[in-house]
Amino acid sequence: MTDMATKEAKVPDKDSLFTGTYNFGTVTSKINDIVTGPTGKGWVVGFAVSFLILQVLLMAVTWLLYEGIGTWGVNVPVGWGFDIINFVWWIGIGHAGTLISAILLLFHQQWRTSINRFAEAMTLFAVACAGLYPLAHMGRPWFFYWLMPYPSTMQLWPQFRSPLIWDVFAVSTYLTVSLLFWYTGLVPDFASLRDRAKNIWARRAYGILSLGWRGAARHWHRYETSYLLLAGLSTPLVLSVHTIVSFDFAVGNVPGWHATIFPPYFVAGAVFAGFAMVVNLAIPARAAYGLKDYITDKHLDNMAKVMLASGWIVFFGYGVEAFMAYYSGSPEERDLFMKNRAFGPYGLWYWMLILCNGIIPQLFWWEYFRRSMFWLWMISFVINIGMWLERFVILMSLQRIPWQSSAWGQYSPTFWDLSTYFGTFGLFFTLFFLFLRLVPMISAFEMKHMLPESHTHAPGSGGHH
Amino acid sequence: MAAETNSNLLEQAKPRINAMAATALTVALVALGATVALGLVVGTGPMFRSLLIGYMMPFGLAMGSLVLLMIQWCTAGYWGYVLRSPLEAGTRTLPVWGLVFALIALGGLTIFNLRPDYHPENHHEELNVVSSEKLWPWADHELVEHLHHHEKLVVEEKLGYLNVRFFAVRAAIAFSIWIVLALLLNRVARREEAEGTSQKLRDLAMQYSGPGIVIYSITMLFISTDWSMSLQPIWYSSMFPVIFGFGQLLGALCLNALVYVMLRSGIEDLSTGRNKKLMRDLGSLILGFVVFWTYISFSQYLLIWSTNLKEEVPFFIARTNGGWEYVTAALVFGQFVIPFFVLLLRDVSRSGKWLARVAGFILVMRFIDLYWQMKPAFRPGDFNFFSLETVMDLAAGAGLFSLWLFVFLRQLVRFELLPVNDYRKATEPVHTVSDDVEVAGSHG
Amino acid sequence: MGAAPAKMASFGLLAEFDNPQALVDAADRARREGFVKMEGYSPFPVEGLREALGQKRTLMPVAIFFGGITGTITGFMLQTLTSGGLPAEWDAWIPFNQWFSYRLNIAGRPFFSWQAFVPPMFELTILFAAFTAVFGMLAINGYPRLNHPLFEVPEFGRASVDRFFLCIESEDKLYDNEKTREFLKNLKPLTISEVPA
Repeated sequence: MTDMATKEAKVPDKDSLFTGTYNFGTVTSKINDIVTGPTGKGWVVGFAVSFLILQVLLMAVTWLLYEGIGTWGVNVPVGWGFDIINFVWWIGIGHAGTLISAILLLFHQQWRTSINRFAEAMTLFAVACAGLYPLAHMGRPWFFYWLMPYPSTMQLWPQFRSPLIWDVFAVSTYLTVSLLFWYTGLVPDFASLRDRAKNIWARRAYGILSLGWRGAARHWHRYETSYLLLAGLSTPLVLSVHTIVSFDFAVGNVPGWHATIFPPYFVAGAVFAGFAMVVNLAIPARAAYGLKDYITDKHLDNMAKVMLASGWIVFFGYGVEAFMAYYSGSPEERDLFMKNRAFGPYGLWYWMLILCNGIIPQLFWWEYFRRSMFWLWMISFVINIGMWLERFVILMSLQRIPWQSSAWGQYSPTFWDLSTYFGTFGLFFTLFFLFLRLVPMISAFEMKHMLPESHTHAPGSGGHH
Repeated sequence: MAAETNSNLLEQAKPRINAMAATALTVALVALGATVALGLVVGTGPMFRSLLIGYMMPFGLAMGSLVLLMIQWCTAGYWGYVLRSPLEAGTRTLPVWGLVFALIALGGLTIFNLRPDYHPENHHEELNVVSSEKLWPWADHELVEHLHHHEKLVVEEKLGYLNVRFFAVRAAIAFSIWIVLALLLNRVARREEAEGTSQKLRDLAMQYSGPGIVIYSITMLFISTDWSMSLQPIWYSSMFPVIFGFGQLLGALCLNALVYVMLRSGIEDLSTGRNKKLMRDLGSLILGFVVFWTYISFSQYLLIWSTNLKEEVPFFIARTNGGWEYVTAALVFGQFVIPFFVLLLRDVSRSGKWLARVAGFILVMRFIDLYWQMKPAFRPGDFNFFSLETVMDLAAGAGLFSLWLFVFLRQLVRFELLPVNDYRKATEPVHTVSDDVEVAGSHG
Repeated sequence: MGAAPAKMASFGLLAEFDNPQALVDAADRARREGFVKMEGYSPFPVEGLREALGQKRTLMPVAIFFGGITGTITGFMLQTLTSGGLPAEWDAWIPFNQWFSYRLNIAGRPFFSWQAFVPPMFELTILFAAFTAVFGMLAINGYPRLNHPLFEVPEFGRASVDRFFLCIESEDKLYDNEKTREFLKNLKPLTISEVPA
């Protein structure tokens, strides 16, 4: 026992954190100490600013509920404005989280381990922000349950042939499954937080969150099986969500929206923007918490390559749209593209999005731009802007010219549109700062699994004395 | 030492491959002879249509090989190491296959011969695309002139793009680019064989492959539009090029997996060690490809079905009526349901034998898929399995596939079957948690 | 080992190791010795431990598959019945067709628009399968369970951090407090503790 006590004193010294040599104990403490340690000043400032911005959202939503949808810039002919643009934008950003954790797990990509928790949290918060828009757009959000299939007294059921109802199914399933996936991954880490907590209340809170996890071999086996299959289920799910979002437009019988390539092209756009957002969040977070040994330059380099590849699919999608507008031989399709997309009132925005999504990301062909933190962050930021512009152009270019030219109009966002959009950043970052403070941001048990000493060989086959 | 075992592999396999090539050549000559004979009976028009349909699948295998070769340079998986040599052999068939296309297109745009039921005095009446006197209906100016009013307007709008000269230029440019890409990648392989692997060579291969994939997608957008989509000159779908190109990847993956299993199954045990993991990886890849194919195909169908536009929906009406509904159902079951559920059973798909069966089955479905894509353009809503025309379609398909197989197999034995100096030679398929989940009782 | 009557005074004996290989080897020895009621505990999944303990493969994949199929059927029935997907002539024979359905002609699409029903069917497939995966796994594992005899052992606090444990439970037929302790000692663990019941 005494022998063991001396061994136990492997308290990590500050220096070892940056040399990249870890053992099971130091991995746990490195990750958990961020949660259990003292609150940093930077965190307080960041949280306070985010919380303040969140108040803008509350104000905007309160005013919307009091006054009505008229406070927004949407009207005839443009009925889908900032609400839908931002819904699509946020939900697209969320997709990278699921893709990183699920697809990379399936493809045996070990580099996912240190960023998956972080990315999954981003998914949840982005979907929360996205979900807010359709709810608010209902005008009477307290009747949201009318969208659900339940036996009402009038026997009136949802209109299952509408993509908007598919959206309800897709987004709510997505939120639920992402939450389950995230929580399932957290259970073993909550157990280690419970076991290391000094404060009795923290111990109880993490004890309840860990559900009493003991780490039995039987449990681990079922856990791993289920977790992997959950990843397998999440992968088609995330593709289906953005596919159904694209159906919102493509099922519509209107030029510029009804393009059969929309589903994969929207999914690629979501991956593109989502990875950009992960990079935008990960670079500051790893600097602030000294996690460069965990989220390495190699991770960021890989993410830049994913952005390059998905960016090309998106760029290709723009090309196909333009070509098919011509090839369709339909004057409506051609006019829409030439007079209302590439040129015309939204021409500037169109070429801006080509620049942001098509041209600038080509810098990622060079390793210098993938490895330079400054350029990587800047280009990712530009991509996020570009993907917002893409949704803006897709929505606006079409709606302002309905079939009757007497009904043509313009759209411009009001103060309340802008403040709602601004405010959702407050919601997102408030949740994100809470996550950084309360939950281990890197999956500790999976990191331990990556250490060389975690590998075992069959008993009796040598090596052990 | 590894080189020795590799050479042994080639020496061992050579007689078998040569015998297969000889058989393929015989089948090709017989089947193509039968096609021409049937063509004299049924008409040269249907014959060229059969040849065009039959051409597409081997073309897809060659092009799919090119893309997979570039993808494996970029993603560096272990599967890339074992499939590289057959993939390279596949790309080396492109020059011959370009020539074959030139012959079919030339014949289809000159000799092609149809519209027997239309008498000169009826020419002022509306004509149907099906009666075209050229393989691609837009090339038949008389036909375009006499189309139904709306259709005529639409097709005339496209003639700036769809005309023989521009069509030929596009095909020539596309083939030149692909052949240059194939040459460059094969040269890297030969240099690697001679000098050994180096970071410099790998970087070079990646510099060709990254832009190469981009170039492939751009060229295939135009080629799929030209060769297949424009057979129904009114119809358009921006998803179609994606489905067309992705089908090539699926076909090439299945062919190369099949080749690998066939070459190795007699020599080593495919159910242990590296091979076991490789089979698992290939099975997962095929599963993923099958699911993605279903996803893009169903999305296109759902969008066209729900919008119900008169320019678009005839495509599916032609394929869900008059016998074609059975082909459509066969496609749904054969290229999705059956492979999906078989590959979901990981234990099954991990054995080489079953993987080869599934891959071979999907290859057959690839032909049916391409047949389904193209044939209803000539016979919308009218499919008769027991007709000379269908026999001719099958003969042309078998003949051109065998011809391509002959060229492919002759190319395959020219170099080592496993690249002797590949940097992944000593690596393993990555071991992860998923192995523990799937593999029972591998320890203790 | 003699078949001593199990003493219910304790839950079992807990041996502590500091690396996963030692745990796998110990579990293997214990299994060869004839112990059945035992369990290994580790901060992360250890390869080969399940086999060393002689535990069976889980049937979770099968359960998840059927969970998914249930979702598909639910989605299909929900939409078909409520959209009046069954022919109206059947109303006389199948009363619930009338009770549930609300036939609305939307854009001339058939009441039974199976194409449009696919997306919700797909979502429900995933949802039900995911529920099976998470709640099924937790239920079979017996969670949530906040108290457990093992938590009474102070050393066990490191089972989630950096220590590896083998617990031979007193319910095992071969269990004998003295002899089992002797057996565990031979495995050279860091500590051996008795787990109170």
